[in-house]
Amino acid sequence: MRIAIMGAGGVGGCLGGLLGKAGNDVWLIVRGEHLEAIRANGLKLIRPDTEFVVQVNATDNPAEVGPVDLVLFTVKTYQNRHVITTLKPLMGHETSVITLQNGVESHEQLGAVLGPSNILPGAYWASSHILSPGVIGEDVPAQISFGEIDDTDSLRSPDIRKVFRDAGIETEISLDPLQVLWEKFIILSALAGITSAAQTRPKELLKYPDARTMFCNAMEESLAVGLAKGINLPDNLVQDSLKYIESLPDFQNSMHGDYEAGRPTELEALSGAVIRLGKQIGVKTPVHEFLYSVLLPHKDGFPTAD
Amino acid sequence: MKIAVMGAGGIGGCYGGLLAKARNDVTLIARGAHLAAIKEKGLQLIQPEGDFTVAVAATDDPSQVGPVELVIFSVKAHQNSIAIPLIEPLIGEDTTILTIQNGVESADELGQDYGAERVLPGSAYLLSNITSPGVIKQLSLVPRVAFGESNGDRSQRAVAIRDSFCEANIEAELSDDISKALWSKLLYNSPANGMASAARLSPRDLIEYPHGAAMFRSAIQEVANVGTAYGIPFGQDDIQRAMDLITARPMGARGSMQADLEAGRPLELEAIVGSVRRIGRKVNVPTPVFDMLYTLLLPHIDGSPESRWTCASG
Repeated sequence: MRIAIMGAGGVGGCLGGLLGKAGNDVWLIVRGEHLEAIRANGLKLIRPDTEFVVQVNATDNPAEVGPVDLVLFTVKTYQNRHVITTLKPLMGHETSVITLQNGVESHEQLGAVLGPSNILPGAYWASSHILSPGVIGEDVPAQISFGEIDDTDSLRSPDIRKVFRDAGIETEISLDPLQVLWEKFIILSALAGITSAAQTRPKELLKYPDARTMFCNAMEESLAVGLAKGINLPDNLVQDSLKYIESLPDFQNSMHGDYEAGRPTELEALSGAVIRLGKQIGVKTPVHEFLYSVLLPHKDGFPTAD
Repeated sequence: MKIAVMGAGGIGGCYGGLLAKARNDVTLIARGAHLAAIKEKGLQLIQPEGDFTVAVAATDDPSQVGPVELVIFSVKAHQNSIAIPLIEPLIGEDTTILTIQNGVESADELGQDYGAERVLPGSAYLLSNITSPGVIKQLSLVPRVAFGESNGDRSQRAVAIRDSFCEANIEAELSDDISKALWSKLLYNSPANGMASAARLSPRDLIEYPHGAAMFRSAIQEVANVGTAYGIPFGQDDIQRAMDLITARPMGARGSMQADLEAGRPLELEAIVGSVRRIGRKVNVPTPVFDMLYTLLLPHIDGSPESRWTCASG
């Protein structure tokens, strides 16, 4: 399959490496030092049990790639405004785009520019990072879930799933991808906002009963927004999600890491989206409004006053 | 006047240095490198309009000082459980304890050990830091302080202390409603320090953001609601005044708790943020913003959770 990966950072790079190694015609669309290194030395993937180098195409210019069968959209959400229109040269008559971003708005943002029927909303669970230019480290193997927005049986989804599975990527077709996206969003928006504002890892924070309450309150808010929007979400989601967070090993949330390092954050796609969507539909979101108010100054990296 | 300053940091050191320069018999109670530097070279005070060094007695052992006329109690509020018993040797029959700590609970805490009649509640209005051991930099143009008897009386001792401060070029004001004065400081100081700590941004920089300003207003409203239910009535004009005070701060000027947080030091979280929430619960007033501030900052109360193991001595 001819596949373009827009944004070959931790997640995109890892998927691109695996799909390339399995013999697909993979193009990574990247910039700067990372691009130079991939062109010169190929893409190196370091996994928990193995490591390899794979030769894949890489460019910073989608027009050089031309139409593909599949686009994986894996840039950070704050880049969407600039990046989405640059996808147009990749679109042919039968091109599908899987959005693999945090938040719940990507498929609509891409659909508005590229046509809603071309978009397959997806979610991923992974932990992988660029270790150095051209080198990706994968701590937790990526799992992907995607599907059609209108939950129809799709002809293209099983083909795509086969390509992923043949590359060793655990992949599932969801009949309700928005439900999957929202379940992830409800947990992630609370985790990212609270641990960034507290500048503490989840494990440390969850020792405190008040912090557990705040996690639950934040998740209740986004759950209420999702339910009001007609997303099919289970009633016991908040309690189950808290148990899930408590079951995780010690880790740092990625937005907290970006915040700490003074990099731009995905605040708008997380707490920002909870507030925005809540306003649209008349649901109050005081916890996320509070988190947003203290995190906003760091949204684009270190505030100039620092 | 024979004076001991318990806690000669930015605030206590500034008042203590000025009182010593005005020929009061001052002893600074301090510790560590700061104490050693003061003993060796005196205390240097850098003011906006010039600086001076004053030779002043200093010790870490109050029993060497003995009873004094005035104790200025200016340690960080989170040190009270250790610092309050330590001042016992300073207390004689006619000793007054002037507390200028953050929060509204300090006089009660001191009163429990030494009798409420001995304590003069007060409030410092002063930005001032230790810049290096023995050196204190006063950022406010004029060091100000307000204090008064809890019952509002214009007592002889309060007047005498006020006069000593004024002679030392400290703008001292006798308040006939010191509770209102303390709560009025809490009204802007708790939101300013709490929000700035959670945002890791100076209060003035944060209030420039419309979302930040809205959250400041909610936080100030919560303190006003708690104060009003507690018997210190606040109106909309008080809330606007608190907003204006935060807006009038210099850009980049960090709150003291924010500075402690960013340096990984213990926080005055209980006195500054916890008090609003605690008193709110007593008088049945919800404090959702302060609950969240408290929750987010609690892991840092004894210093950074990341570094707690390596710098337990602070």
